[in-house]
Amino acid sequence: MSDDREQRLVEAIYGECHASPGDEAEAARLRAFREGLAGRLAEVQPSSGLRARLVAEARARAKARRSPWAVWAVRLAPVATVVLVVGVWLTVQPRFDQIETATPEQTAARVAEEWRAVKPPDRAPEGPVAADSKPQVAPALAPATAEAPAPAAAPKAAEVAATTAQPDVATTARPDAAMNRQTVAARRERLQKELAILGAVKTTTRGGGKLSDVLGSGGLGGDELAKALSSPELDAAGSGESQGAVSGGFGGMGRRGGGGSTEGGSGYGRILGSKSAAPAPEVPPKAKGDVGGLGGEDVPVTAAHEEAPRRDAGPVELEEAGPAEPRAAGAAQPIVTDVTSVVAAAPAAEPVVAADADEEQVVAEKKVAAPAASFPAPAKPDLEGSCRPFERALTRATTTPARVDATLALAECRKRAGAPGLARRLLEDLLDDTTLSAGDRDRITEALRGL
Amino acid sequence: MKPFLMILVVLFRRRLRKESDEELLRRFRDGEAEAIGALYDRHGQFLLRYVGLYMGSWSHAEDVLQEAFARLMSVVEQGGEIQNARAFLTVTCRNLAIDQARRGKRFPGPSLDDDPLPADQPREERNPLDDVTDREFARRLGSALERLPEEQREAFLLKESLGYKFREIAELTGVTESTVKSRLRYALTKLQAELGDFA
Repeated sequence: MSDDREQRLVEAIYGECHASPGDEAEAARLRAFREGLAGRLAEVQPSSGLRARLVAEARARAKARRSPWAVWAVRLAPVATVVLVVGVWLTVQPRFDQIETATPEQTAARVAEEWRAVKPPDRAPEGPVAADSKPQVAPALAPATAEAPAPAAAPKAAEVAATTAQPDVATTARPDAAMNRQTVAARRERLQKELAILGAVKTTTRGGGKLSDVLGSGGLGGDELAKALSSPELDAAGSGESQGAVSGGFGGMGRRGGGGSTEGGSGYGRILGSKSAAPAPEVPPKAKGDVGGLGGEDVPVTAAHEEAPRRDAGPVELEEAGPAEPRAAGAAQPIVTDVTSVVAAAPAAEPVVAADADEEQVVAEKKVAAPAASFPAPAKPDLEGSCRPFERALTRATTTPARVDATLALAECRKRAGAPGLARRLLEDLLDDTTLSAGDRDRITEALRGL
Repeated sequence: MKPFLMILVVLFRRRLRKESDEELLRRFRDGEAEAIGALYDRHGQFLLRYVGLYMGSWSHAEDVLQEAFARLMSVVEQGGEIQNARAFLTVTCRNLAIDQARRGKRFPGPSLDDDPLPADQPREERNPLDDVTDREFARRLGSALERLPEEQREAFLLKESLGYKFREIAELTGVTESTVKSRLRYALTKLQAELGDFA
């Protein structure tokens, strides 16, 4: 059979063409056989577990292709997601609570608490106040309160009101005279904002004074306000009394009670003296607070001072009594203190007249008026801010004597700012300088002793 | 739970069944192991029958086919491009079978007689007479194919088992189409002489 016939025969068997006339019979026979064989072959489907083995191998290969990092990333992804979500929630949730649930009163209380928390450590008393650390009672105080001395409350309020209203006084050449005037102004502004928001107290008095403005905010500012008030400008213009005195004057008004601050109530008179350009009333330094008593705006105070000169106001009694926060035994008793002297010493134009001589009564009513959410978070006291000029001076000092002078000045500033530890460290570091002269060392040692 | 998973698996396999060979290989490269299963469903049974009839042993045919798939996966993993997966597997199976035949391992294991049953039909559902007939046919077919020359057997199986065209068989085996047709004619004539009573 030729190749052509043979190929045509095969194509005919598979139905692709017709076979040659002579080969049709054979083509038909082979086609029938082939079709029958193909049918039988199609039924031959050997059972096999090969598919499962191939899929398993493919799975193993795919897994091996993944890097270990990718494998671990996939495994840890859910855990990491949960940790992230929980962390974010724990961070944000307390703030939500504060924003959503706090009432104005709660916010006011929280702000006050934060102010107290960030209040700088009490400074050591200076001058005569420091020397007299025992609570003292004014000679003219009522016998019933002689055992429970207290700082003068209302006069301090008047003092604060007066001093905050008249901040501009000349600067002296004291070491801290270079304190940044802007810093003082900023503090004063911030504190006044505090007073306006948190301490709005409405008074009902025939005199119509604004003593209550300060009463309400008493203690919130604490030493911070006192510090601002006791800036060099104030001291310089007046009697030049110490910061401690001023601080005590304000602290006596504090929410924490009359004795809450360190230096008691003797300071107010000095400040008043400086503010009014009149002789300071002779108020014996009570010094060192912690005698309890006034309890801020919530404690009834009966003021009567027979020795102090009266002008247009009598003793003040604050109604709306609340629980006091005494810090010493007997402090919860009504406190008699000198109010009239302060009122008398206040400038005539000052709207601090707080009491009527006849009725001798002032009714104070505290109202919290500020929206809580809009109140800015209280800033920490700027301990270092006031010493920046000295720090800059120290940075600029190139010679050893200049560095010693600048360091001593900075240490003094820090000490006054309530950070004696920093001042001590500064001086001790300076002592390590081997280029110091004997005189410089003596000066530094002297300064260290003063700390 | 288990039926639900089974339904998902069936649906997944049905979806893969519609994919082209190239798409299945791409899926395997992306980590889908089931794509290889789908590729086996499409070509595996034909290739297994081809290799089994060619070698005369189902078990060895499985080994050869598994090795062919493993080589396919290796090529894909290494980034190689495979245009025609079926042709790749066929050539690989053929070369592996030839290698084994040359090493004298052509029929070392169980013969076709041992496993003549269709894969998709459980043994207990089959007519015992059919079972016997199939066994006999498989044995006779295996014997007849074994007696064919290798090139005729190969041409016959490529045509009947895998359905390749003359031209494709010529390309796979490296001969002309007329040679393929001649080999087919001789193979059919010899098989008819031996299996005429079955077919």
